[in-house]
Amino acid sequence: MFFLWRVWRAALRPDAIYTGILLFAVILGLTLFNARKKLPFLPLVKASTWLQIHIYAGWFCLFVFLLHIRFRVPMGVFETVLALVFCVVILSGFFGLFISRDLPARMARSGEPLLYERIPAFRLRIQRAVEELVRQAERETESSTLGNFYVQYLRDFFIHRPSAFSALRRGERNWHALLAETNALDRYLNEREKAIATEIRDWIETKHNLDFQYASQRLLKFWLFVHIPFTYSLILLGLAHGILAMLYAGRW
Amino acid sequence: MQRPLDPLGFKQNRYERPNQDWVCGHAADGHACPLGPDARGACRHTGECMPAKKGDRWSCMRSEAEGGKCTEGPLPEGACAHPIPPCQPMPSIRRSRGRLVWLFVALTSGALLILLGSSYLRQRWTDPGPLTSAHATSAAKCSDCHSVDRAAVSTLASFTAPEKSRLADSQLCLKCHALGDHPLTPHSVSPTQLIAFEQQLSTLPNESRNRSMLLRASHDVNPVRSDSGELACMTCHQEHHGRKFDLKKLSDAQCQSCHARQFASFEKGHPEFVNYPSRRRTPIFFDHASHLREHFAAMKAKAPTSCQDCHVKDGAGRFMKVKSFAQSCAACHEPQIEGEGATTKGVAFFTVPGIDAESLAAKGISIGEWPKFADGKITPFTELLLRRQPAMRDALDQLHGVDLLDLSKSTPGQLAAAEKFAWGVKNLLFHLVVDGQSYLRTDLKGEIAPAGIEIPRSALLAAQRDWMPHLLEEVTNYENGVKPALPKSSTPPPTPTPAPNENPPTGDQSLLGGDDLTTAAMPTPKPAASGGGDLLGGGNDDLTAATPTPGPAGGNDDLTSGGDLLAGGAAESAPTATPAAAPAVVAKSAEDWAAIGGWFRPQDSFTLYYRPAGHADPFLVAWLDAAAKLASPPASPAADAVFRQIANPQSAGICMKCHTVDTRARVTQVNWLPTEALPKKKGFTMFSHAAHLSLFGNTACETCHALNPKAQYAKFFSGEAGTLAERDPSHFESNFIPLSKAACVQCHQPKVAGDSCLLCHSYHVGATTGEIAGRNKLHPLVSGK
Repeated sequence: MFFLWRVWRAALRPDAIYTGILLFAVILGLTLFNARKKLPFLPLVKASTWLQIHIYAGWFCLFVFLLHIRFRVPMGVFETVLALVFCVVILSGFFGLFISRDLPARMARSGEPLLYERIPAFRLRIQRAVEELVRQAERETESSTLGNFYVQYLRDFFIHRPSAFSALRRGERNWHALLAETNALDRYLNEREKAIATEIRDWIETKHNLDFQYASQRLLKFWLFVHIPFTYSLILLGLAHGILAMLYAGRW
Repeated sequence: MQRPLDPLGFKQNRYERPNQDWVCGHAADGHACPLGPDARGACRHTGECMPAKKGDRWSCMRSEAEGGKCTEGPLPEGACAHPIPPCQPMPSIRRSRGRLVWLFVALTSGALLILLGSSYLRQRWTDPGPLTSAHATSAAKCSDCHSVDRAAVSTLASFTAPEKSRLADSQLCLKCHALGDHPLTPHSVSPTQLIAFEQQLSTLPNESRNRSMLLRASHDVNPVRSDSGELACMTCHQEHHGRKFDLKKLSDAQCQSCHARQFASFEKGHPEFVNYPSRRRTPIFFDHASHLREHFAAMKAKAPTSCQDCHVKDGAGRFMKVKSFAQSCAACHEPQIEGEGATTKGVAFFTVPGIDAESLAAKGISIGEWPKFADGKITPFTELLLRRQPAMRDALDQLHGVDLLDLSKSTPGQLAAAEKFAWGVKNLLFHLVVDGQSYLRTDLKGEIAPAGIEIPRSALLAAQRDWMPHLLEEVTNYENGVKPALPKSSTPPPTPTPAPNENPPTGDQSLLGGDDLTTAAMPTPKPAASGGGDLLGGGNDDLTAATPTPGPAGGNDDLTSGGDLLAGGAAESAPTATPAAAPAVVAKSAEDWAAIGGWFRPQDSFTLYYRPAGHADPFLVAWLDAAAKLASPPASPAADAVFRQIANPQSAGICMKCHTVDTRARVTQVNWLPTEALPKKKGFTMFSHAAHLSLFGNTACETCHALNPKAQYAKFFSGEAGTLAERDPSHFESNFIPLSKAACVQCHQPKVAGDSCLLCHSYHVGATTGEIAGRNKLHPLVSGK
């Protein structure tokens, strides 16, 4: 492609027109992946194949874009906006590629895989289970140590909904700190309370996995909120740009 | 250890439908209702289950995923005992994303409609980038350069406007840029010239085998020309890349893509130079070899010590100009121009030819008074002026080969032609005297510069007075049909009176006549009717009449009488001295008297001469230019004779000793300047002497210009004397050995001084000026409009 572009350039051909048409066609082709996802019943090759083609075409698209702008920063207002929209689309695509390669593996390592739609119910279930344990401890031991501890340290953790970007954080300092606090509480507990505290620690781990599953899946879904709308804007702006360029270059 | 949350088994799990548009409003809190909202987003649930009636009893239908059958069971009327409060269903992720997409599409479409619908906004916001500085001052709006906007401002109409095209846009470029007659053809030359160039290049060695794949491929896909063979400007010059963008920048591959003969680089494959840089004979005949070898060696005091003594860079630093005549040549050649060592120092302009008036009178033909001793032939100037009158042409042709000094045996026709000729000469002199310069200007019809007709009145009057005192009466009467009477006897008409003090063998009389101090002692003929207002015509205001007659004691007034102011003063300071006899005054000849140039008439001569006033004498320049123009093929014999007379390298002024004459395309012209005067002509090749001299120094001209001692430089200037037969400037041999590519290749490598095509070559050649049309084309801010 680069050689072809050099030949066009050397031959004083309108390489920007050629690369522009190619770029627009590739972008249209890339959007077909979205259409394919909406038509799962059609036997149009596996979705994973489509995805792989989509990824390669995306890289090719970036290369053609660089050829199109001749490795120069656009100077006009409209062209700059168009280039920025393209950059948003291509960067969001690369971000999506990155998280779709990184997060699923981490999710598998993290613990039980959970359906995104069920996570709120699971979160509620965990919260209720822990609260039931705390009440049980109070009933059986007539001690409010665990209850106070829950109110002071654990309740916020169990009702908390993490942000999507928390999935990108590699560190687990907060969670470990919470476990360490719970462990430190053991010296103030009797045997029964210690057994319940052990169960609570299990729920902390479970909630931690749930949070990670939730944040990861949320991120995997919500990056498309940038990628897809901007893609359609890019198509419209690109179409207008192409018409203007062809008109003013006297090639319409 | 983590606790399992998602039990396996369909009974324990609710069936999720993420593709649905709406989600229960309680889902985010973890207790979504089992049915969820309907397709329109309306909440449709009232309890945790929908009890079913089995027989006459209602039974709970809560699924195991929701906790299984409740203990309370349905209410008696069949309602669920665990009602769920209504919710506000939320859009699903898919639906939210879809909404966002439509929002973006709507916003983008709206913005584009606003942007493209308004010509103001379209120009402001769709401008793909700033223009170069030069164009930013000349283009205020898109339609200044784009035919699409000029054709139709509304966007829809623009699609179908027929006149919009790249070539139409190029025509807009040409409104400002003057690129000659073929601005859009390759190299701005005519198709004929282009074919000639191609044929010329095809004779060069073919180095195409070294060309890269890129060059081959680019040539194969290069049909950049339109059907008309024209190239749009934007093919090479693409705007909107910023103020400082170089519009002329092209790669070597781009330059070569059109060319059939391609090569890898300047070093590898570029054709060897042919006779570079000499393209023609030098306009000034200057033999470097003979000057360096002979003349400068003989005159070391005057000789230049380096090339810089005679050559200097021009303002742009491109060419090495020859310094002015005064700076480079005058030391040796000025005296020669002034006549040093020449036998004739003046150019014969007008002469009264000798005619056998007695034979004419014997045949009853009267030509009035005619100088008896006139025995010369008319000068080419006189003949040229006579031939301007149609009637005289026949007479002159008839008299061709006839001896005018002996008409005794002439035929009646020749006699009639001789009469016509004699009266033609008298008529010419009459008009020169009476009408003067206005007559010449009218007669020559602007073919000569004013300097060529600046003949002093006094010179003509004095000549006429001496040659034909009654010319004015006779011609006036002749034109009124009254011919003068035939002479009764052989009484000679008045002849110029020799000055008594002149040296007889070489004695001349200056044309200035009365103004000439040497004529003060001469008896002044009194013309009968030469005009009362005439300075020389008589009366008290006649300078010649007012000149005091020198007497023995009159030397104090007459410089030529031997006295001068100092001498006079000395005489007054010694009144007691005995007056001595006045020494004999020997005046210079008229030719020598006019040492700094001007008009003169030798004693006993019936010819009026002009002596050049040094280099670039305006009179000779004007006549040489005019004569060259008249002598251009097909030349009249008279015009050619004038040109031969003054273009003779040995004639007065010796102009043609150095200045050469070119005849090209049937036009003859004198080369006055050392370089060809083609200021608006742009060649394929350019070279900056300034850039090279800054590296090599001023004494390194020989690096490229090596003298060729064997060159026969002078041979191509040695046409027949006076005719300069060799006028074709393309026949020549340079004084210097032509440059070879190897000399340039030493530095001009890609990583040294560069070897780009555009470093040495221009694309637009010919009559291209690169000028813009004028201030009216500039931006309003610049033009002040």
